[in-house]
Amino acid sequence: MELVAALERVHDGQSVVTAAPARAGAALREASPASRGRRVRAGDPRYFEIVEFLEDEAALLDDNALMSWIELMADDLVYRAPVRITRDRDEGKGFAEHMFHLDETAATLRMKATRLALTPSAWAENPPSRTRRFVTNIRVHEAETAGEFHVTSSVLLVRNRYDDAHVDLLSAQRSDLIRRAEDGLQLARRTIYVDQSTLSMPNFAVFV
Amino acid sequence: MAAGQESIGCREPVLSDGTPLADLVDVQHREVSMRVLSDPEIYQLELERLFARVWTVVAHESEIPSPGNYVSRYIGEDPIVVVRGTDGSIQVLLNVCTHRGMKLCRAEAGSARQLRCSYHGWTYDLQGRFLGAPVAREQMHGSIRPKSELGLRRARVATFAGMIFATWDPAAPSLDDYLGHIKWYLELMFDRTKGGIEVLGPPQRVVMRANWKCAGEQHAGDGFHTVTLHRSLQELEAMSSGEPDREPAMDGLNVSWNGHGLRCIDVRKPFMNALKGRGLERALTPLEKLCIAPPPGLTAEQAAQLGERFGPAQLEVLADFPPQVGGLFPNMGAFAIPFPLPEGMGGIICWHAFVPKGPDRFEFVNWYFAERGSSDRMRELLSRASTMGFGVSGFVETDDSDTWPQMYQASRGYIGRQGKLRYQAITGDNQPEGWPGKGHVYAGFTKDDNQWNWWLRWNEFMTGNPW
Repeated sequence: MELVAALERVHDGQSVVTAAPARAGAALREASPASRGRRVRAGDPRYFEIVEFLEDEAALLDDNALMSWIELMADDLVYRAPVRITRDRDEGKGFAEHMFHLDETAATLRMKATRLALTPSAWAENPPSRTRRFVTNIRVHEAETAGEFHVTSSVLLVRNRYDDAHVDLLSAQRSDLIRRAEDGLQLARRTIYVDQSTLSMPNFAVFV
Repeated sequence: MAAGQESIGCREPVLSDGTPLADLVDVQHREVSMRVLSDPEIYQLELERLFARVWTVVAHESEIPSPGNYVSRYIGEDPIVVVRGTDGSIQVLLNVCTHRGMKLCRAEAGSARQLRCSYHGWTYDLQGRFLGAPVAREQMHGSIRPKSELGLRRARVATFAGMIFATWDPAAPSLDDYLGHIKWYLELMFDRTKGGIEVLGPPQRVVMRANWKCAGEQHAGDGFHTVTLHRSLQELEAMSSGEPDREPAMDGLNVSWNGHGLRCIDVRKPFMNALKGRGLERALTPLEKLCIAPPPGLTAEQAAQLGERFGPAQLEVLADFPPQVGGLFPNMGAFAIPFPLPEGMGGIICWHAFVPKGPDRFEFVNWYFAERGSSDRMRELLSRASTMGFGVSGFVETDDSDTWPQMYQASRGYIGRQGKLRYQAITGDNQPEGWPGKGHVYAGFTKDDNQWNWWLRWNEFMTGNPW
């Protein structure tokens, strides 16, 4: 029975990897909704409010309205995309605890957005990419603090540049903390768990 | 067990269309034929003549701290496994089973007592020695070759500041000799304390649709592109200060040796500006300056101990002209840069590798570091500054990653590949009197000398014997 329980923990993404070098595991625990508060089910008005928030957010990014997107962020934002490596099955999902593709606060994210949106020479995105974000599989749980929600979603980013006939894809799970503020919902925490260990798009100059 | 040498140098140094390899680099005009950025034949020669011979970085010691820890990586297009043996030594082994060519370690990191192939179960120890195959009584490796001949191909290994380098070439000089005079400068960036540096985690990896040399030659010392490609940084500064944007600090010294290159940035002026009116500037020793403005990733307490690690000459360079950006021949980038964040002074200590994946793509591998024993706060500042400035999402290299693919594309056309890459802005050796470092030194505005030396070194590998 212990073995079954251990396997279930692995399948819940809760297995803790202690072996060097990845120090993975903890990041993934965060992604698992199993230990969260009460599920906010489809049909609950709060669920639809959160779905609308994520859809509006994606629309802002798809429209390249970065300075408006930034306004959705809470002051204490932590926005991260941990680096991932391939590990054997019993060693967890391979997310690094202290190494990131993106490791942003509200201030640094605003600086990145400002560079891309308002300086004329941010060539990485000028001309800008054409992007589309497909946000699905949204699951909402109440957080410990009233008015805060743990929200997981899947996102598929489709990105095309110049006259390239190909598109770059980035698929990821997002684990968010969404907070009700005076003027609407805010993003307080986002961890982006990418499905690639080696990214196929040449940079992370777009956001998900 | 040493790697056998291929018959390098026996092949006629002429490409199949009749172009002598030596003509690709026009020494008289300091021009390089653009076909080098996409020609598949040249790429195959690079795998043979360059990547099978050079010392290149594969991992950092702190990625495999315990016996049995391994990471799987690439040298050129050859998969390798970097593994720490039971005796603590580090091996770099071809990650290919000697039985039927299956890849041995399929995870990218892990821990193992032995390396066992998942196909027929041929098994090797952590030194790469063949131990046996399942159903031992049947001796499934036969009797034609003894076990001693069935071990994994093993590369030579050496380390600098914990960075693990490997080469397949038994004739290559030692890593120390390969680095030559550039090592003296590199120590100021990565080898500053007794504890040394450790990785923040596994490296970022991203595939660029470009030839690896676009990144390789740039890192040898191209400071000039900062003015234009990274102009948004000046625009941001102007935006926040309300002043018109200025040309970034381009002055300093470019240092070059064996194709490696670094830029030592003149930080005296900003430093003095910070001290202005305090009457201290002239009275300060290099060590005192370093305690006031510690090098990236160091605390003031750690900076105070730099005198135990470095002599007066290195301290002076670190205080006034620290090497901050550069690259090692042929495919590495190296950075140690202070980087301010809204929440405090951060820094970037990082190392890149540009691993070829064909003439048309390479993998950008990017490690970030902290001093061993750094506080969580310091690690956080380094992580934030590093992802802010460099790497896959940084201010700087997101622009580079959008540039290299277009150079590659441009070199594919029939007309385009007849074009030239030009390195005609020359400073020439002008080492200032009293400069304590060695190597070729080009003082003043950053020009093309370093990158040109990189191509001359490339040419030596491609056309003759580089050693």
